[in-house]
Amino acid sequence: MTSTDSGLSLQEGMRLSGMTFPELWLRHIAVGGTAGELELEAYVLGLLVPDNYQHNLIAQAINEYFLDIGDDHPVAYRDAAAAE
Amino acid sequence: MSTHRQWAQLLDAVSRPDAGHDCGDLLRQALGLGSDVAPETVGCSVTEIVGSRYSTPAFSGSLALDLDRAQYQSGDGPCMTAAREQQHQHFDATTDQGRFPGFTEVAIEQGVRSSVSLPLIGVARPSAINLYGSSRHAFDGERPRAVASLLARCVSALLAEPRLAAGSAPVPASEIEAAQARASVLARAQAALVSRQQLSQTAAFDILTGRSRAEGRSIFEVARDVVTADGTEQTR
Repeated sequence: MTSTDSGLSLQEGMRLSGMTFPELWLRHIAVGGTAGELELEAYVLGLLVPDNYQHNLIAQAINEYFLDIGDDHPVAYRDAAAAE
Repeated sequence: MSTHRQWAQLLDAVSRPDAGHDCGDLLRQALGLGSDVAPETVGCSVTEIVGSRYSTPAFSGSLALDLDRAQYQSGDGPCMTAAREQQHQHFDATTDQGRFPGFTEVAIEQGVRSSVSLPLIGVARPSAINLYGSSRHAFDGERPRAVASLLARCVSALLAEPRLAAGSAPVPASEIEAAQARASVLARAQAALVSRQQLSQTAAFDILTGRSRAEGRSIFEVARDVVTADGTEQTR
């Protein structure tokens, strides 16, 4: 079973940020992500199911946006260690 | 096959246009995924213009084909306008009766209350993808619009001649290089943690995100600290 922190989903975080998908894709690359642009969109929209690591990469990419504007990690992470 | 698996196949095919996928099968599969745009989706099709004629080369559900044909027979409709003018068209059967009277009558008879048509970009003939809905506001939300846009780009990539990898708006190379430079700092921090604590890459990433959250700081600041501490330790 995958545990998830309380907080926003990827989709909610993306909507709240107002970022475009190309902006998110750049942030995703910066945190070490390798998903393509459309694949990343599909993860955020719930059309593809990310594994815990992929989820946390995207969550961190969105949260970096919020840190830049003075907020603190509103998007939830999954417990990747528990799933290993 | 689950829709998640079908999306994965479709996205793989459009990201690797030289991989020799069967585009006919993938196009049918893509139109079937129109049901993921909104729960009220009742049909999905492609309209294309060949010379002065409109046709439907692919569809999911005979209702979509019937609704496309109703527009061709009445001489106008949202799918024709989208293909011809290469502009997004949103149709509401309640308020658009004056625009497309012939089509609206058929749509209401068939239980369809709305549609959205998006132009397909980069294809040989002027074309559009059409989604039909059973409620007035089926495609109004942010998510339906985003999924419809993604689906339209995938279908555009499948039909493009020559086939091209699908993408979004071009991202400047300088911005990609800047992102990769930030990623390299993170990779060095992960490598230091892997080496020092005998961790997996995933576990090292978890440590960095954990510290980022606990300290309310950017993961890049945390990574720089880890790299600096690692350098200090190695020079001792």
